[in-house]
Amino acid sequence: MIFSSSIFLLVFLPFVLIIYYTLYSQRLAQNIFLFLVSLLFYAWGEPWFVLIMLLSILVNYAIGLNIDLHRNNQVISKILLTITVLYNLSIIFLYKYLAFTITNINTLFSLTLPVPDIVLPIGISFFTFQAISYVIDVYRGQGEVQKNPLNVGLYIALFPQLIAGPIVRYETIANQINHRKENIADFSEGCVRFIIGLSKKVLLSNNFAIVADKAFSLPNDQLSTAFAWLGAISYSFQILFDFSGYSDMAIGLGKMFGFHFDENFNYPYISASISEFWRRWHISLGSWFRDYVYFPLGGSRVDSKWKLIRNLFIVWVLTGVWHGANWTFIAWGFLYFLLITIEKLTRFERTSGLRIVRHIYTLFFVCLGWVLFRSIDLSQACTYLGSMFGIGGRYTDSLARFYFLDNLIFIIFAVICSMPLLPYMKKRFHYHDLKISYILTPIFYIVLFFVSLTYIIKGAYNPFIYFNF
Amino acid sequence: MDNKKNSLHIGRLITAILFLLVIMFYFIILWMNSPKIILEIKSSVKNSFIENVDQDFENGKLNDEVIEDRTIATKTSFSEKLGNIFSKTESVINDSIPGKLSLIDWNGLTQRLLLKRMIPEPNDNNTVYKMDNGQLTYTYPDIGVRIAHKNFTVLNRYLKSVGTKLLYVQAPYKVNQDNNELPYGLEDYPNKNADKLLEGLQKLNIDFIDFREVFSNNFLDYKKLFYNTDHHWTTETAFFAYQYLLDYIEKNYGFQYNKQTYNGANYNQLTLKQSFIGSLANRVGKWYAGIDDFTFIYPKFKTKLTYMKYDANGSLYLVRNGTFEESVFYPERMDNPDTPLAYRDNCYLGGNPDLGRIINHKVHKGKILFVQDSFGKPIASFMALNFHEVDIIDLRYFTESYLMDFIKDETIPYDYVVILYNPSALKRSTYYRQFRFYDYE
Repeated sequence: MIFSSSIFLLVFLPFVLIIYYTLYSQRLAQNIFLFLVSLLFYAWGEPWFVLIMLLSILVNYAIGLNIDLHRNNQVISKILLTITVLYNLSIIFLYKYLAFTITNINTLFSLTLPVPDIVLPIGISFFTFQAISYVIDVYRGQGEVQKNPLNVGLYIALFPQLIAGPIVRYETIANQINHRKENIADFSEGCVRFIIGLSKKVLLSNNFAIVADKAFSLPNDQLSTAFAWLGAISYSFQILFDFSGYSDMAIGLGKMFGFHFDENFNYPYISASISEFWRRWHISLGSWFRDYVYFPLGGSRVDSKWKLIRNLFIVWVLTGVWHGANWTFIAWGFLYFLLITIEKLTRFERTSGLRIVRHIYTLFFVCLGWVLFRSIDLSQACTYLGSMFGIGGRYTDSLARFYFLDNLIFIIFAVICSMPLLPYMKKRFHYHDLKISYILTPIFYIVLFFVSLTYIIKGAYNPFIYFNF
Repeated sequence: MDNKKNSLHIGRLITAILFLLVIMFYFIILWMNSPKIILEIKSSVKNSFIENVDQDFENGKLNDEVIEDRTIATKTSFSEKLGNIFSKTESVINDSIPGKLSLIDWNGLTQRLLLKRMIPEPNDNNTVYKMDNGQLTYTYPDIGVRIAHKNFTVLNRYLKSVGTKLLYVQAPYKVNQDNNELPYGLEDYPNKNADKLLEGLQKLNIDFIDFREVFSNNFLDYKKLFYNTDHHWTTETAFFAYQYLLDYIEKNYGFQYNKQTYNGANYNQLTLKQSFIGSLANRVGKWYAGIDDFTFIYPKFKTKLTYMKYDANGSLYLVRNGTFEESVFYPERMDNPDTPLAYRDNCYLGGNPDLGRIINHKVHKGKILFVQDSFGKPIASFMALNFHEVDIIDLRYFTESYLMDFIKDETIPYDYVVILYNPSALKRSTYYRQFRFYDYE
C-alpha cells in the first residue's frame, strides 16, 4: 500500500487512527494493533513477502536476546553478531542480488547458469537495515534488548517507515516503543507534516515524473539536448520530492502515533559541495553507513590516504549497490566515491571560493548522477549523457519546448520548495506568533491536501520508485 | 521544518482537525456503502479476464511478430490473482469515493489555473491535450499497419467469393491533418497512421471512403464537426456522413433505398444546449473542459424495428421492438435537458453493443454488417432505416468468434460489410483486436 492512494488516506489511516486512540492508555494493545496493521499494510502489495519479514523479525529477535545473554563473552557475542549480519545480508543478497550476480558471472565466463526469476520484496533493504541496526545497537549497548518479540516486530515493521524509509535507527526509538507520549501538539504537527509530504509527492514529484519518464523513454535519435537536460532536471526534482515527500509523510505519521523519527532530508539541493549534499540527502542512509560501516573501518582517522580511499570506496560502492542490483547504481555510487574522495583529499570544503560556483558544481554532478541512477542500464546512461552534451542529436526541439512550457509553473514551485525559503520567511517575520497564522496555516494546508486528494481520486500518474530498493 | 517543537500552534491544531474531518467523512461514507463496494469488488475481480488480455496489448507484449501465434486466452498465476484482487479493491474504492466527479472538476480547475495543456493519465492513451482551438483531444503514437493490410486481403478475398462488397470507412480524427491545432511540439500520428492504412487499401483495390477528405472537400468547419469535450463527431456530422455513405452505396453498388430516409427534413433535430459532458471532459472535469450542446436526431416518419443486443459470447440479452425511438434509439438520454450529463451519445444503440442486430420490418431487402467502434453508433442506427438487416459487431468486445468465422456462419451472406473506424483504432491497445479478422492458426 502506498501513502498517496485513496485506500490508504480514506480507509486505512482513519481506521487505524480510530482504533489506535480507542485503545488509549493501553500501550500493549496499541502496539499489537500497530504491528498487525503494519503487516496488513505490507501484505497489501504482495502477501507472501510478509513471511520473509516475519522470519527476519524472529531471527533478529532471537539473536538479539542471545547477544544480550552473552554480553560478557566477547567471542560468543561477536560470533552471534556476525551470524545475524550475515543472515540479514544473505536475505538481501538472495532476493536482490542473486539474479544480478549470476547474470554477470554468465557474461564474464560465457556460462549459461540458470538465472532465477526472483521478485524483490518491497522495502527489503529498509527493513533489513533496520534489523541489522537492532542487533548492532543491542551489541553495542546503545539500545535495550527487547524481551518481547512484538517490540522488535513493531520496530522493524512499523508501517510509516516500512517501505520507503527513513531507516530508523534502533537507538532512536528503542525507548519510544513502550514509553512514547502522544500529545495534541505532536499530532497536529504530524498532520501538517504528512500533508506537506503528500503534496510534495502528488503535486510535484508525480508531475515531474511525467517529464522524466518521457525523456528517458525517447529513442536516442529523438532526444534533443534541451529535452535531455529537461528530463534530467525533472528527474532530479522528481526523486527529491518523492523521497523527501515520503520521509515527511513517514515522520508525520510517526508523530500522529507518538513516534519521533530523525529528519531524513534537509534541502540537499542548496549544498555547495558533494559532501554537504550527502549530509543533507537521505540522512538516515548516510548515517547508517557512516556508523555501521565507515567508522568501524576506521573512517577518516586512518594512518594513510590509501586506507581513507579504501574506506570511502567500500562505503560508496555499497551505497550504490544498496539502491539496486544494476551497474547503473554501482556507477552512481562510484561517481560519488570519486567526487567525495577528491573533495576530502583537496580539503574542498575548507578552501575559499564563490559559493555560487560551488553550488553549480554540486548540482551539475548531482544531476549527472541522477541520469546514471534513472537509466535502465549503462548503455542508456551513456547515450542519454551524450544527448545532454549534444552528441548525436538536435540541440532543441518542439517537444522540449512543449514539456517545458506545460510544466513551467511546477518548475518554479519546485525551485522555491528546494530552498529553505518558507522556513526562512516564517522565522524572519515571526509567522507563528502572528494571529493571522491561525487562519492562514489551516487554509494553506487544507487547500494543499484537497488539491492532492483531487489528483489521487482522479487517478493521476502516481509512480512508486522504490521497487529497486 | 520545526520552528516551535512541542508547542501547540493553533493554526496547526485547526489544520489537524480539518484533516481528520475530511478523512473521517470519506471513511464513514465508504463504511456505510461497504456492502455495495464488496459486491462490486467481487464482480470486478470476475470481470478481470478481458482486462488482463487488454493489458498485454497495452504493454506491447503482443506485437506484429507474436500476434499470429497468440490465442486470445491467457493464464494468470495465483499470486497475480491475489494482486489483482488488491488492485481491484483499490480501483473500486477509488470509484466509490463520494463526490468523485466534483473532485475531478476541482482537479480540472487546478490544472486550468496551472495553465496545463496536457492532463496526463497513467495510461498514455488517455492523456488529454487541449488544442489551440480550445477543444480536447487524445493523441496516439506512430504504428505500423502491416497486419491490417494482410487481414484485409484475406477478408476481401473471401467476401468477393460470396459476392459481398467490402467497404472501409475512415471516420475523421479530431485533429485536422491540414491544421492540427495541437500544442506546439506534439505530432499528429493518427492521421499519418490512417494515411498509411488507406494507401495500402488503395493498392489492394479495396474500396474506402476517407471522411477527412470528404469534409475538407465540402468546406465544412472542421472544429464544428466534433464535440469540444469528446473525441466523437457530433450527431449532425454523423448524419451528414450517413447521407454520404448511403449515396455512395447507391452510386457505386446500385443499392436502391427510399429517399425519405435520406432527407434531413424528415428528421426531428432536438438540440439541448450545454447538456453534454464528453468522455474527455469526464477525465478532466467540466471546469477544465467546458460543456457541449447535444443534438438528438431521429426520424419523423413511421418506423418499425427490432433491435437485439448480444453479449461478448453471442448470447442474446436484450430485445427492443417498436419505432426507432422504442428500439435503437434511447429517448431517456434526452431527460434532464438542463443538466450536463455524460453518455448522451448512447442514445444510439444504448452504447457500444458487443454484437447487435437490427431488423427493419418495413424494408425487405439489404443485409449489411458494420464492423465498428463508437463512431459507428449513429451511422448504423440511421442505416437501419434503409436495410432489412443491419448487424453491428465491435471487435474490441466480441470474443465469441473471429470476424471471418462470424461472417461465414451467416446462412444468407451479407450484401455489404462496412468497416468503420476512426484513426484511434490504430493504436496499440486496440489495433490487434479491431483488425484481427481471422484465426491465423
